[in-house]
Amino acid sequence: MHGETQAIHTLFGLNPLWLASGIFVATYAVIISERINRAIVALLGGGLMILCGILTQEAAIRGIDFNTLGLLIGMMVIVSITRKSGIFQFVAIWIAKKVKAHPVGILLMMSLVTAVFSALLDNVTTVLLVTPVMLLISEELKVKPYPYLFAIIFMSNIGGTATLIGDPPNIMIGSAANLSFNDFLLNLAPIIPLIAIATLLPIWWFWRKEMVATMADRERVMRFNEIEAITDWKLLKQAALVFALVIAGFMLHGLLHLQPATVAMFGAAMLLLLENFGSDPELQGKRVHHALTEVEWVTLFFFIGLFIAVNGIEQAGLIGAMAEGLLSFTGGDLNTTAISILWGSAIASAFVDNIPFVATMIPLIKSMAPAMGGEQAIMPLWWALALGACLGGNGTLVGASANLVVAGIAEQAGTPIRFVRFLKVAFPLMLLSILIANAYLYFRYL
Amino acid sequence: MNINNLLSNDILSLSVQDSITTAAQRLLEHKVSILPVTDATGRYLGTFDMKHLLALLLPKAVLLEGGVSDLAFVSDPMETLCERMHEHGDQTVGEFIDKEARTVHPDSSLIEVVLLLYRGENDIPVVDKNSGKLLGMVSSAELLTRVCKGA
Repeated sequence: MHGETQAIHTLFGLNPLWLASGIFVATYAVIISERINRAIVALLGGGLMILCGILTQEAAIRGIDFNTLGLLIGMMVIVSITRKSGIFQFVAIWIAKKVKAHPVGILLMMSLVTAVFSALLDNVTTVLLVTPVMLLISEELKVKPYPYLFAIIFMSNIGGTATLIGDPPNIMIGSAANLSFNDFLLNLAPIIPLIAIATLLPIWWFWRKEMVATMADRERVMRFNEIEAITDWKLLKQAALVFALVIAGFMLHGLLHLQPATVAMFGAAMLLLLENFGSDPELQGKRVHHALTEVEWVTLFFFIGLFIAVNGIEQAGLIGAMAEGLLSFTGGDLNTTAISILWGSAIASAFVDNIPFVATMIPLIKSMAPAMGGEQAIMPLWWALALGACLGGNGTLVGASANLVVAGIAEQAGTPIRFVRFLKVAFPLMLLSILIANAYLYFRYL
Repeated sequence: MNINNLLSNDILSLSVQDSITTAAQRLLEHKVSILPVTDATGRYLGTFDMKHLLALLLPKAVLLEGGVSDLAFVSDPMETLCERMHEHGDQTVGEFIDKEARTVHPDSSLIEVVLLLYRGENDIPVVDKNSGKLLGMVSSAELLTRVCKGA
């Protein structure tokens, strides 16, 4: 992605543009087909770019955005340690009791918690933490979990849109366009509450008749003792301290001239140190091993392969050609380009993984900067891409990893979430959220 | 020594149509933690375990992969447990049968049986290799009794 263009000597002297495009399209197609694990496909695609001579070894490495990887790894380690304290369960139970275990109150509060967690952690982690507790509460209340799971999916994607660290597309955009945590907070977060409320109201309306529980069942939830959910107070305090420092570090990373990855990785190392300080070497080894195995390596290797593959088509000139195509379609008009990117990203992200889509769009948008008045002028395009790619994931069950994770848990719990049933409500709601995002972009930036 | 020598004399089993209530009664009555499940001809199909009964008492959210990891904060009383068991009482053994449970044959290696028991298998079904018929169960207690007596 960041490599400089250089002479390309391809295998058998084949046309580099066609060869790179062929590899990329094939990689994309196999990823979408979901027949082979996406990490394997991306790594093969990236590998082929090197083997076929489109990229040199060095250019391939330069294409990997280590800032994105470092930020993801750091946050994953912090969360894997923090969750052992039981804090996430505590919060979920505490808020359920705050609304007297009323089913509608729980819908609202669980949505709020999901959105906030999702803004501070990645979406998949958030739904993995929230969904089981939500299922437990709905079981005790004897209410159908479907509306709650639906809301969790929506709020995880909506909340994740608000911050740099909330969703992988934002991490990638922030890193590539050099946008800070505060840039995201100031530009994307303000519209998120409105989008959340606008989508939550219909969810409540559709399922309001099912959200009824007897006093006896509510009493069962009220008897939950949230204090008992905390399994390790010492660890909780350590994690809270590190978490606060990391968030402060994100907010100040521009001033401190530090990349978010440095802040996250340093936070992870600090938490590992606090957790293990004074323990014997064997226990330290076990704990560190556990924390590092919790890192989602499959996702990270998927990113690595993708970064190389996208770098391949960039070097071969495909990205430039696509950017020219988009510019001629929009006539180089910022308004039209931003709105096209917003809606195009939303529709695409509803059906395909938004990570490869954003990885492709980043160099494309970057290469349009000179024609559109420089890096500062194209800022709205980044916000359009982030809003479209993150919110678009709500459109279908396969639109985002978090959706599939919730569906997987729901299936195990005997409450399957079916593709078409989900689509019927989710797609219009996703379009509503994009409409609001469109109005926001128009009135604020265009 | 042959595995056959370790088998209990009377073969206790369940059928797939038996209700959960029947299965629970039989497990408790005979003070065993696991029973083999067979078809009408005596062919082995799988096992039904006391753990299946305990699972019915728990909220589904803890039984999921990556589900709620502990329930220290939940204080469901005995009535709730009874209610949960009652809700499932009419379900059949066939819905819960464990088809993946390890089995051995009469000519299986004795030490392999010891290893399986050590690794936490409950009583292990002994099945005829050719006909698939259930021949009986081999238990830790029976095996250790023989070992202590010197065969």
